[in-house]
Amino acid sequence: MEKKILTVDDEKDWIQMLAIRLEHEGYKTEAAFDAMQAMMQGIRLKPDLMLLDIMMPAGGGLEALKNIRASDKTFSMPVIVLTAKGDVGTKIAAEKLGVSGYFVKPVDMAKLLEKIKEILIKE
Amino acid sequence: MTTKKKNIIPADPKTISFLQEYSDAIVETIQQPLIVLDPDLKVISASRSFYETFKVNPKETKGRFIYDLGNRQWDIPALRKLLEEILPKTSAFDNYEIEHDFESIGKRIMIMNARRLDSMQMILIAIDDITERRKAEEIKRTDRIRSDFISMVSHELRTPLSITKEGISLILDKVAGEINEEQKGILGTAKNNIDRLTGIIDELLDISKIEAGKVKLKKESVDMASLIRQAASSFELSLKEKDLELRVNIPEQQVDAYVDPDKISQCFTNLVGNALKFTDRGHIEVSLQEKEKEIECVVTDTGCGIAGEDLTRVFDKFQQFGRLSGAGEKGTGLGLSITKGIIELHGGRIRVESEPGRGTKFSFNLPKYTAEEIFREYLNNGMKEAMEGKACMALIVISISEFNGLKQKYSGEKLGAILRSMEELIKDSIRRDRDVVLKGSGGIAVILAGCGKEGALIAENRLKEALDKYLTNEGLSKEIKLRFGSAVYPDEAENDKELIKKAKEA
Repeated sequence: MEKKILTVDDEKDWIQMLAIRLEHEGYKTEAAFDAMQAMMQGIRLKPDLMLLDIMMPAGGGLEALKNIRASDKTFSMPVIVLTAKGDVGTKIAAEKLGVSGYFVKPVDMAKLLEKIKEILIKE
Repeated sequence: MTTKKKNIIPADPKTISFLQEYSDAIVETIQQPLIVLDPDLKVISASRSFYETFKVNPKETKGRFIYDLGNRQWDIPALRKLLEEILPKTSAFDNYEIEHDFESIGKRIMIMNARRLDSMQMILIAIDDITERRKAEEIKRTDRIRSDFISMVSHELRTPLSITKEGISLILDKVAGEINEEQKGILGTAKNNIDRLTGIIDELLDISKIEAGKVKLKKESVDMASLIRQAASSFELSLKEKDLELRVNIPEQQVDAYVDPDKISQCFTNLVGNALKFTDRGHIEVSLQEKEKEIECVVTDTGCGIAGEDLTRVFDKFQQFGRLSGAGEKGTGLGLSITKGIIELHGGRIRVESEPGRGTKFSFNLPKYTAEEIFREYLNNGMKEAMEGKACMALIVISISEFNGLKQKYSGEKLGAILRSMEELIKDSIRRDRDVVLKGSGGIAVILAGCGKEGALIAENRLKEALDKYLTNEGLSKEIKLRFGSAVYPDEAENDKELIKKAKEA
């Protein structure tokens, strides 16, 4: 079955690029543009994987991740962080909340696709 | 003291002389610069600290007009305002800030508290020299602004960079349709330069973090030999392309160091990358040597070399040498500054020797630590983390009973091998990445982060079982007896010494 990936980022151009790439790889994509939407879409669409930005309006990615882990509908959803924030503190905070990968922008697309494949095969 | 009614001037000469003595003693002993003027603004007395701070001669002070002090250096408009406009209207004025450039001592920022004592016919001015404090505050402020700026810029640049790079990649990967070879070439160049720009941003961020003292090393016990071998192997392809020979001169056995492996690897990559950039024929040699108190790592090349006058500036920011050839990959001129910063953060040092036309040799030395020192640092880091996270931490100590007796029975080599196998076994049964297993001379310590008494006892039992099984299998269980103990921070001990003592005794 076609796997569904929810991409979350306030940069619409980036989401567009990601969507073209992911759909070319055979995935179905959905988009959310802030932390609140990420949470709501996460529950509504039940994606197989979420690609999450950190610096976003309406609470930021870490807050969204916290909520995702707290909700019994989404707590086990695999999440990969894609962010411009490369500092160790943010990375540790994200890892504590449970993420399957952490990529700093500009993203190494080959590595990201490999990671996505690995996670979705496991699912 | 401001109202006339309260001004009772004692007529008794004895009392007057007592008061005079008393006030003189205060002025003389006070640590702060203090100056006493008469109503005509002539100096009656001044504290020792005043003379010292402002470098004025006591002989040229008393009886002088305050503005005339130090060759009229004290003729300060803001001071005139305080003495001539403010004080006549109010008898007390605090926190009056004056900034003045003194001829003898340079620019000073002072805070003055002034009192007009009409009854004593005196004006008292206490001066606080806050120049250094202000400077420190200013430095802190600019550091904060700079690091905020750099991290903001880096974030703001990364996002459009990411989008542009992916856009180009999508076309290059033919996701948006076929492209011809010429188009592929052009886009390939564009993509390489986006990667270059990314590298520049990373380096700018690195150097600004180093300069702001914000780099936190994640030190651990590392085998330098394999770290360097691994880093060197990533250059194989580029060396082959330039037809250069890579000579690796690294000991076969482990060379233990206590460093941040990512950071040291970055230094090494910088040095080899640099050598590669400036060497067109010959070889690049990488060597590692364990000395008594240090570990020395050397990268030598047979490249174009650096002229003597440039050699002293090699580690400065934005310096680029050996560019005579023109073409080739250009860097930021930050790599060597970053490398130096990282090595120095590790308590090491870096040197360069070079001869134009013959080649260059970079060497860095890292200090070696004893097992005891490393253990203490791990322990203290663990305790600090536990304290910050309001969690606990457990220490398990496994010691070999009558170790000295065993030393006579077995060779050091044999005992070492037994300890190593035990260490591996413990590592296997602990499994969590955050936990630390350290081998000492007569035993092994295990630090378990976020672990309380209950967890520590479970882990202790599991280790006991595994190690007993090992000793039995090896036929050593009669000869070697192990003692187990554990203690938990902060429940059972307040500091590292207490924790170790408790764990050894338990």
